[in-house]
Amino acid sequence: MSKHEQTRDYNNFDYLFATVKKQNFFELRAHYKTLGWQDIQTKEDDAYDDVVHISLRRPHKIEHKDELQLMQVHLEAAWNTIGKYSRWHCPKAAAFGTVFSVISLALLVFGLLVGFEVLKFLAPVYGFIITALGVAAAITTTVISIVICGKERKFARLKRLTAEEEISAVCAYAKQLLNKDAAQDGEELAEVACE
Amino acid sequence: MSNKKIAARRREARSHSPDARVVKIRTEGKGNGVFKTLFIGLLILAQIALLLTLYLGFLGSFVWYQLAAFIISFLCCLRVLSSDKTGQTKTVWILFLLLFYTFSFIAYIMSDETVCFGWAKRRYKKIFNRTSQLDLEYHEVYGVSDVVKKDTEYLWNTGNFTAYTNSQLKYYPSGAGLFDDVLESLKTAQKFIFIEFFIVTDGVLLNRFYDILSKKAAEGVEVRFICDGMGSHRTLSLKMRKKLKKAGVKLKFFNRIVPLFTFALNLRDHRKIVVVDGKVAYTGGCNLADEYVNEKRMHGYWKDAGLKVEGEAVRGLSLTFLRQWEFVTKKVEDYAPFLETVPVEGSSAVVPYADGKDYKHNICKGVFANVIAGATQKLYIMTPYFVPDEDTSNLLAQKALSGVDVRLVLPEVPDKSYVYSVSVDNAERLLSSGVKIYKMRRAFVHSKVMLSENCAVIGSANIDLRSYYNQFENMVYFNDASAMEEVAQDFEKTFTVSEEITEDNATRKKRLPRYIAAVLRIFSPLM
Repeated sequence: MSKHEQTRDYNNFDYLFATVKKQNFFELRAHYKTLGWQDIQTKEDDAYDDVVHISLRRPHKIEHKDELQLMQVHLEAAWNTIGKYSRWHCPKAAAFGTVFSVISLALLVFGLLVGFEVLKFLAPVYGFIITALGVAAAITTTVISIVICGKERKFARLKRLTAEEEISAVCAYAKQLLNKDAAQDGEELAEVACE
Repeated sequence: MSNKKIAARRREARSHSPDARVVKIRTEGKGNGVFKTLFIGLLILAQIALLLTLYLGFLGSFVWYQLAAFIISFLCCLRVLSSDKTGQTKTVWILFLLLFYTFSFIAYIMSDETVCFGWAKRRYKKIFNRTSQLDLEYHEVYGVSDVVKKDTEYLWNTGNFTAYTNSQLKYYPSGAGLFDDVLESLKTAQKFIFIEFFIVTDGVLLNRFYDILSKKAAEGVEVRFICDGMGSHRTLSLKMRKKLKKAGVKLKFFNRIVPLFTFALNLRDHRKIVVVDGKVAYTGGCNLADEYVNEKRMHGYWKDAGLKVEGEAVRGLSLTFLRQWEFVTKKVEDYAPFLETVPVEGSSAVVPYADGKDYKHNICKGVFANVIAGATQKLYIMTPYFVPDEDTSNLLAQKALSGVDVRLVLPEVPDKSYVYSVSVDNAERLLSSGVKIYKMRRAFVHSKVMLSENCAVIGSANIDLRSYYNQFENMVYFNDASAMEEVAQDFEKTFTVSEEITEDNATRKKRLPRYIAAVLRIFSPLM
């Protein structure tokens, strides 16, 4: 049993240890409170500046525990969806752009080398045609990448929106389960705002 | 570049975590006995390598060996054909035996029940012969439907499992609720506590158990604890084992892993039983580990189920435990002091039953088939793995085609991806017959529950071939109206948090997953 475990009252409380992004810390803490958790310790990460470790606990025999546990999984998954789609918007566009940019550049360089008779196994006129193809490929790649990126951003936005809605729904349901009244909500929001 | 610049760049690089997740739950579980497992694994691999070397470097080059191997493999094929294995298993074995005839017969002989489990079967036979007088006389249950009567008769005829009436049941739709009640009951123990689990893992839940068990053992309560040798091999630390034993808990392992290449490793105790003083017993899908009560996050939300049994029916679970205890301890004792029960008011039929190499028939498979066959209105199933044989699949399809409301709940998050792909493929094959498939969102469903309008079955057996043919399982069959209502409510609740799979969003619609599942299906007897 670790030193940390020995100090825990695991017969009366459940414990949760999470690593969260600093920028979302206060919101997440408020959401965990909605699910009945109380934070007992917050610690900065040794390696990264943008994450915080938080320890929480709640009474072991809390009412509606099963629902709260399921809601918590949904909440965390929704938050991670937001994280995923906020961080990297256009992976497909970037991959497509990189591959075809290299091909376009190769065509361009090869065409110029042939056009200016550095490489002599083709007539110079073919060199200029290949160069033109390279330029056309570069323009097409840029346009297609922008289109794909636009779609991906839209998709990411939609995902984020769905996740945000899910978070709201989870919090509303959890409050309903734990019978938290409006006054309490107000207090919590004020607390979040202050922090 | 100066050292200061390098340090500044390193700081800059460290300032942002590469993990895109906003929140990550830290679990403190750690694998125990890694070196021991590696050592055993290496020894087993060395034995396989030795066999291969013997064959490739020596025997394989002799014509007489090739001829002899072919004859033996052919004889093995005849034995497979005359066995009571399923059609699918027979096909796989015959293909294997004929294609790799030079060495496949060795694997077949090693895996043969009389070679592999013969010792176990003989010991179980002795135990059962000695304790057969403890099986109560068969008595017909009155006031129940013909379907239930037939089912109870089947259970009596296959394993002498009695239908108890003076019993009460309570259903738990989660591991957290179940174990809270188990712990409360353990606190009241005065005479004995029986615990049998497949997986026992160090953690918060086991600490809660330890606190109570050590106290009870000190008070003079007989505490018996059986864990499976493979299920708990790496999860129950040596330190905890010593602590439990020191506290007075009689801890035993069923079929420990030994560094020997043998198919007996396949013989596993998958049962989940807790009995307190013969007054109350618990069973279900939960093992004794933190993930089962959602204290530890492994595959999303962990959905499980359990059952509390009070009254005469506790006797059935006690008897199953005591026989297994005698098997692991090799000590003969009088069971009578442990079989006294406290009858409670009840009129419905409750039949605790077990399955495994200690019984001649495949009882779990038979009961599932009976429950499916008996359903005329609804049939709800929750299972983590859906790898049934052709008979069960066909029966389910037939029921759905006959207008029965057949619904199957599977997890959305898999614990073993290879089993999951076969499970999903098997389930989605039934869509065309009208079976409704649900996947519980962001959850791993570990409950093993079957409910029809006549009865319900809960316990440790999955709908897969391992539970049907290889493992030791225990279940409870009942037709208690209030408990069945609780089960039905849990199903209804689960449907609302699940996604219904249709022909349009089925994974099977895509070719690649279908082909992968087809290849993996060959190994379904091992899943």
